[in-house]
Amino acid sequence: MSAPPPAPAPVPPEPTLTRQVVIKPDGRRIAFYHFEPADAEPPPASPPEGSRHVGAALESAAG
Amino acid sequence: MSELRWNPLLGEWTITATRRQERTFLPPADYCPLCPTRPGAFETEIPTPAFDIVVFENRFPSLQASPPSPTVEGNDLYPVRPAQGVCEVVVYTDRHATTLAEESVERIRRLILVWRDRFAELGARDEVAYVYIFENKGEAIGVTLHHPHGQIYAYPFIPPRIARKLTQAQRHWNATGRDLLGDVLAEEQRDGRRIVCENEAFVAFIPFFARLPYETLLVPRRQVAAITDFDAGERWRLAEILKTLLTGYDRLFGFSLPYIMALHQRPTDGEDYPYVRFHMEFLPPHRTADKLKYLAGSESGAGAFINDTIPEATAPRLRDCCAGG
Repeated sequence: MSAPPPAPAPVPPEPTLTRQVVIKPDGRRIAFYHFEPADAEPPPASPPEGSRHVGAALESAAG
Repeated sequence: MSELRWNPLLGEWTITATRRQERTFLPPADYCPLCPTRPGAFETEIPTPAFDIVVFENRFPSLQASPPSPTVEGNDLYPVRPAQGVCEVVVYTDRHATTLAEESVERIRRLILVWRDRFAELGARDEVAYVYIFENKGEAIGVTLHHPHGQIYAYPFIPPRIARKLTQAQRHWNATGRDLLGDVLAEEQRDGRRIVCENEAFVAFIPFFARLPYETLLVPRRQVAAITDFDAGERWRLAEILKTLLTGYDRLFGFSLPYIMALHQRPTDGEDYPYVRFHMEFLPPHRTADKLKYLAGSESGAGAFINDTIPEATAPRLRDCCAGG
């Protein structure tokens, strides 16, 4: 008999979303979303822009 | 100039949007229009020095709430309509050099909450028949801005590929009383070879019929028709599995993988769609680290996809990457 699957990790409490809408000078709408509580996690470390690599050098022929 | 022109050969609308030719193309990081406006620096689209998540109307929209009148006169063969709708940009973070895969599960959950809010608000508008949330990532897909962001198109019609999927789902529902995607999910779970990752609420797999080597479908175990129908637990599990899947994609070839990410939901035209199941579709163009799948003669001219791989071979590799290998 196989072991029962591990219990799922608990779901952290969901933050409350609020939306603040501003009209830009050219008439377009911009919405700022805020969350309560604020995200306590520090932002992930990102490589500097110059070292980022999205995608790869690609072959020239269609395939 | 922006208008809808009817294609009688395919029975679908083409959107013209000539102003988009002028849009910002791969600016240097110092002049990214999606970064916050720093003191003393140039004014970006977002007039604050920091923000969490921001959504704004696209400066170069294909669809507009108050569109101009068509520039040409339509007729019975070639109907023409104003390009009414909404095009929004969703900026995931104020940090330029990151990707959704690199963000925390908590931040991804907050993005899901924003998607839910946008779907509810845009879908409630009388002129909006379909709210389409998506992300184009990577130059291989054709992105013009690297700052992590997605888009929302609120169409005044149901787009043709989505309409075709709805027709198939409705046929299956009428014939069996079951939702088609639920049966696809059950078959993928029964077989098991093409499953990439899963949790309590969602399963991701490269479908039996995949058109691209690493195309995946992300499907909820429970039939819900729209992102507004998930409960808080399901939203967290969706954020968790998105983190797992996108991290796995980035491990696949050892670089941040370009993709199209598409959310598929019920239309918002006021009709009933009991046969719809929310799902997300990921379409990475890479077939190897340095080769792309092009939509060439058979795909673009005839609409018949040729996949150079089989999902039973590609899914284990992506599964290993999602598991951390």
